[in-house]
Amino acid sequence: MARYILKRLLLMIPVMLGIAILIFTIMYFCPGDPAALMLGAGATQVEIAQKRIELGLDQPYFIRLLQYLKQVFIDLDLGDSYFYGTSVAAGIMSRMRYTLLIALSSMGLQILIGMPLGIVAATHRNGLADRICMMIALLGVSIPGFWLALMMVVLFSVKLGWLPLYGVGGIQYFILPVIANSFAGIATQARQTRSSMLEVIRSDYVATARAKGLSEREVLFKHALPNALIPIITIVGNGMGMMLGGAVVIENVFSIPGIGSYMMSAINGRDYPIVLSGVLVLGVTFSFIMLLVDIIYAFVDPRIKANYERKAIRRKKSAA
Amino acid sequence: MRHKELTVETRIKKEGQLTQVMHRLRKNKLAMAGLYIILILIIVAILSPFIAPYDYTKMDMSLKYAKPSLKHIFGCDDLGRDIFSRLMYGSRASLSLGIIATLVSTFIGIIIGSVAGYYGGKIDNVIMRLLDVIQAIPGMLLSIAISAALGSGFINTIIALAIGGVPMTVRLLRGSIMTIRNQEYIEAAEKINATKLRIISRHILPNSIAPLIVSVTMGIGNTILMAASLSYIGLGIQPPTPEWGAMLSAGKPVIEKYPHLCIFPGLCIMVVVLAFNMLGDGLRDALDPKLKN
Repeated sequence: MARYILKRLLLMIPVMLGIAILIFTIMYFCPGDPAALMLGAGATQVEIAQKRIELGLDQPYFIRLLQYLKQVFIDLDLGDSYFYGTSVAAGIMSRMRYTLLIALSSMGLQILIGMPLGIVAATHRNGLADRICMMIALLGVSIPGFWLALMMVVLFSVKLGWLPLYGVGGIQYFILPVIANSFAGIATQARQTRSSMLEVIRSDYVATARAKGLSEREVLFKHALPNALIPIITIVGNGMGMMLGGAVVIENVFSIPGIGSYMMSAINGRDYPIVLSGVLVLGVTFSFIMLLVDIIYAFVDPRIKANYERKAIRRKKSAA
Repeated sequence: MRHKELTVETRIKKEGQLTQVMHRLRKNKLAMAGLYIILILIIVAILSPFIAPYDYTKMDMSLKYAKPSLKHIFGCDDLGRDIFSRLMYGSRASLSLGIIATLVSTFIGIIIGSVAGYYGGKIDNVIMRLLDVIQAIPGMLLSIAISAALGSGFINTIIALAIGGVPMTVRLLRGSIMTIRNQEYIEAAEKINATKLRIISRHILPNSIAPLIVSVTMGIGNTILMAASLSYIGLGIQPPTPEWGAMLSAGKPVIEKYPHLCIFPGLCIMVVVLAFNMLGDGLRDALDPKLKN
């Protein structure tokens, strides 16, 4: 098992490098000259040219790419913001907690609400409960999260005055963002849980479990659910990606100072180091979550685990 | 002579399958509702210059923020423009973005996926590792980054939306090709010296088309949603072009006083995406009845 985790961790390195190269390349084609933007409208051509040299913008693509990769992966430095001159790493660190808080609590809601909804729908197949759950799920995957957020603001903050409009503070500031951000995830989770449960419920071993007189509860939670877990966990991981991407938009709606709003203001100001690092950090976070998902697979699916242990045993034997 | 008979036979069989699928689809009320909504919206989008009650650019400051009334059923916006007319025009941007971007990404995905799945080996390995990198970045984030780099505008937004969708199609097609490619009829086609292009286009693609149709239908809905999100945060399609996400964004500052500026564009996005999802669900059940029973 340790060998498997180690192997997966090593595989992360090329992926991280790949993300950095990809995002750097995309940003390289950004229109607009940060040097000119930084100096304002009054700057002369000479001043702009000097600034470009100072920022290293005059170098060709490959040199800049190599410099960037060295800076990020060897010096472990995300660079400084063009405009504020402050460290991007520090800026991201101070904002990361808001983005992570929203993304992780959304993922929690997705699991806590989405999975039970899917199980209820699957066990009451074609009944009223199934129809209601699936209608909610269908709505969930179709409603734009940011619109839901706005509508909830109108209802709960403006009309009823129960919750704050925007900004950050106590837990009450995060209720609406998390609900809005997780609704699509809950819906996807419910749909996937339902379909993989339905597939498993039809199988012979569930029929056997029923035939030997187990209670419906035992059948469901001991025999059906564990076997349906793999695709369900996959959706949890994918959901995290959706939540991280969605958090960027949701932060915008609620003016939450997370990585998303940091990046959006940087996009408007052509502050490349911030945009680059923001996508890089979120991408790497997502990759780690997916790695975690793969490791959890091995724990819930004895077949995957056995596969690796068998290989390890074989390796030991051949070594001896 | 025999050859001719054979083609006639296969054609009859194909039509039979199609009728079966259509028959199953017709029985699904939700899917048909979705289909009708989509058709109506496409007609509205095409005919909007003729059927919209007002010109979408016509301003009337006396109607600034007018609440919904009989004359302006969805009210007016910050410049006194009729929201209902603007929504009708907006359906052009949203629908075409969703449909074109999804088709582009599916097309690219089909090419890359067939190459990866059919050739396998090193080529497959390289392609899949590259896709791993693209997929390591959450789709929305990737679209935001590309959109920021390219700037707003129709073509740029299509590129930004399409790239994120490519890996999924590639994986889907690669998976089904890998299961199909060892079948006897592929072997037979190879034995009679059919070219690779012919094998892929005539034998492999038609046999993996069902999951593709479903993924395209669902993909359009999802892409419309992403396009609206992009325009909402100030990328994608920008004013003065009427676009649902951009209209929402314009209504946000006054949402406390005039919520109707935000309610209706959002409802439109929801209805379209819902329609594509309902149709997609229905198509999946109709194309693969095994899943349903």
